[in-house]
Amino acid sequence: MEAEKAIQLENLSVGYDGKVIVDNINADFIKGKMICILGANGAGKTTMLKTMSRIIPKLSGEVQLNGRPLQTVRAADLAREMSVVLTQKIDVSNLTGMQVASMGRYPHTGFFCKLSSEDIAVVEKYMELCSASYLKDAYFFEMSDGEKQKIMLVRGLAQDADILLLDEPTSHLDIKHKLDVLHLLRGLCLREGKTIICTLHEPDLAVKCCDWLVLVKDDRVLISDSTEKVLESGMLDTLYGFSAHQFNPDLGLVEFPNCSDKDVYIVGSDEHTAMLVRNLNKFSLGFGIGVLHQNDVIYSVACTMNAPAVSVKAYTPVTDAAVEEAFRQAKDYRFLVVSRSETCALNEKNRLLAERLLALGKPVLNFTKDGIAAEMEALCRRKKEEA
Amino acid sequence: MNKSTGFEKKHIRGTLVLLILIILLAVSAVLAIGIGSVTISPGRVIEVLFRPVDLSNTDSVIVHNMRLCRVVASMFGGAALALAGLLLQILFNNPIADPYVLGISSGARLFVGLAVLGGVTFGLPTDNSWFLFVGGFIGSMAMMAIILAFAQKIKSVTTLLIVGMMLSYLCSAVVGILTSLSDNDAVADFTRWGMGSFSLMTWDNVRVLAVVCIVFFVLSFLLSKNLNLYLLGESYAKTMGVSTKLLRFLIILFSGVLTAVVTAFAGPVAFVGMSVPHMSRLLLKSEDSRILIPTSLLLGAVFGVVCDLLARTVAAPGELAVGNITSCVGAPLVLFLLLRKNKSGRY
Repeated sequence: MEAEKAIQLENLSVGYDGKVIVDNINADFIKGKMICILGANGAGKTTMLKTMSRIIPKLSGEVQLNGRPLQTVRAADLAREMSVVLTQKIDVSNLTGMQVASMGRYPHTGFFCKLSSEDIAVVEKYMELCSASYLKDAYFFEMSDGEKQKIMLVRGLAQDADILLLDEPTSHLDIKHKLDVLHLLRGLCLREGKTIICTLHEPDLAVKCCDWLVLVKDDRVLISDSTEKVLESGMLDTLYGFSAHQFNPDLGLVEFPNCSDKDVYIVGSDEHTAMLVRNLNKFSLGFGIGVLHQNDVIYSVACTMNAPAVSVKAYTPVTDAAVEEAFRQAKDYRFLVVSRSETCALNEKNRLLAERLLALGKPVLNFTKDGIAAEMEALCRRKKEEA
Repeated sequence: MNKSTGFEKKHIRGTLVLLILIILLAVSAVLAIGIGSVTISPGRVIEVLFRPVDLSNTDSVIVHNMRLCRVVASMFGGAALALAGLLLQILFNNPIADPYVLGISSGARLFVGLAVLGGVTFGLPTDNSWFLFVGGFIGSMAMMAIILAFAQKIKSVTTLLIVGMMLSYLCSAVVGILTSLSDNDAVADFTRWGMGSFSLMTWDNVRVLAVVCIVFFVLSFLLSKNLNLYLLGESYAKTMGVSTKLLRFLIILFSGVLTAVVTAFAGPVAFVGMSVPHMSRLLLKSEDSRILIPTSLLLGAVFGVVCDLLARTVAAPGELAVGNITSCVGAPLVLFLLLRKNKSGRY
């Protein structure tokens, strides 16, 4: 069965004043899904949204809204079918949060936009959901960028259209409100069947809350497909030009790259290893690690940082070959860290690895959770002196 | 519970402001009719006002044949300019926009001058009020077209103001040249309201002024919903069902007509269009056109009447141009707004 499409883009070219920004776009957005357009700054995400909402004219091709050409839809109908939240700063001073948010109801009101108690209830509901109720009586000019953004979001939600277009709806929000807003949008999509098309700058969040991803780069759409297919394609790395890994879409990890110096080799992992590798990373100390099981989160972290990590399959014993490989790599490192966790049948060969490395006379570092920053600094000093 | 308290507070405030302004308008009108070289008490003014003109009664003749016409003219003149200013402020999204500052009044004046001059040369009815109005209208629309063409290129409103000023100077210069080249009586008449004055108003002028004003006041008020949405900017207005092209056209047309109809008979009266909406916003603490339009109209009418009264009486028996009085209020306000804009971005 063919899924119903809210918006279809066919050979669409978008841009300003005849200058093409994104060319030949073909994408279908299915009703009731949450879709995210990802791309670097200036890739043309906003231009695409503005064309889809008819704020700017398309250059060529076709936009279909609920199965009919967008340009044939009456302005008043469009306002009831689609609501749009933009990033542009708006410049109204003597209006309160409630007044601006209530404008979202205008397309549903009569000639003099008298709000019914129902209209007010809708606005207040979304005020509550966006935790913006405290801004009701505040004047717009008194608000911070984030607060303004919340009010404009409430306005867009109060418009109560089936399709929502949001341009970076969370760009000015702190991390908590960012998650709250995305969670709210996801909920609207699941519970009320709204089609949500947004742009985000956080691929990790997009992967976690969107059904469909559209990647835009260099004047064209790289891929427009389900989130899973896009992850499989590895196009996310291409999109942002991640040189090697740095972003792990399966776990939504974003890490800084590992320094290529051979400073610390870590044998095995324990509950403090995540903190340790992040700190090594923070102080630009290079590390290698082994032997890990591939279901160990530390393995994912190390790979995302692009650090050399020797691994074996999940729930299989560490092999001699793996130990050999780890030993070969570890020889060149200056310092050694040995995991403090108990060994078991699966990883007892790590103990052999540690013993062989200790026999080479490598100094062992011991970290405590509280003193880690100081110890990192000390390590940096030693590294500098030796160099 | 306390649903929509914000709305109700605004509502009460708005109603109160309107009521006070109506009373103020009535009082200032009666005073303005009464005060002059012959002073008539307010009671007597009201008494005579509601009776048909009685030629044997001096008070009645003064009220009906001399003062009433001028007071009605200043009322409509003030209101029309205030509304034209408000519309332009919404269009340009800037509190300093105003038909005088942007040079639109001066353009209208130049074209009224050209119409009179051409009319005299070609034997057209130059004393016909509609003829003058059409001349002014062509002028204001021409000036509007030039300003909008500049606005496409220039994003800074301050620069736009300078463009408006330059256009003003240019128009005044052309008017000056025209006057020196012609010693025709009709043109001489026309130069008398160089700074804006309601002193030459005839009942015929006032009839045209009133008819045009009332029609366009109502039409503008009907745009309230769209004007409110336009406050969020053109993009947002589009997504909320406003046909922004049509709206922009209507704003330009309405403010052009209102400026032209006043300027055709009273010349360029400065800064009313900027000061009155600003004061209205301060009174209302609101940007909502549904209440801001009526408030600006009433306040503009009061402002017109009071400024004209001052123009007549401050230097009696001589007379100042009403434009001089409104400039004294408006010019400092522009400077103030420019300073404020730099500091907090908003007023």
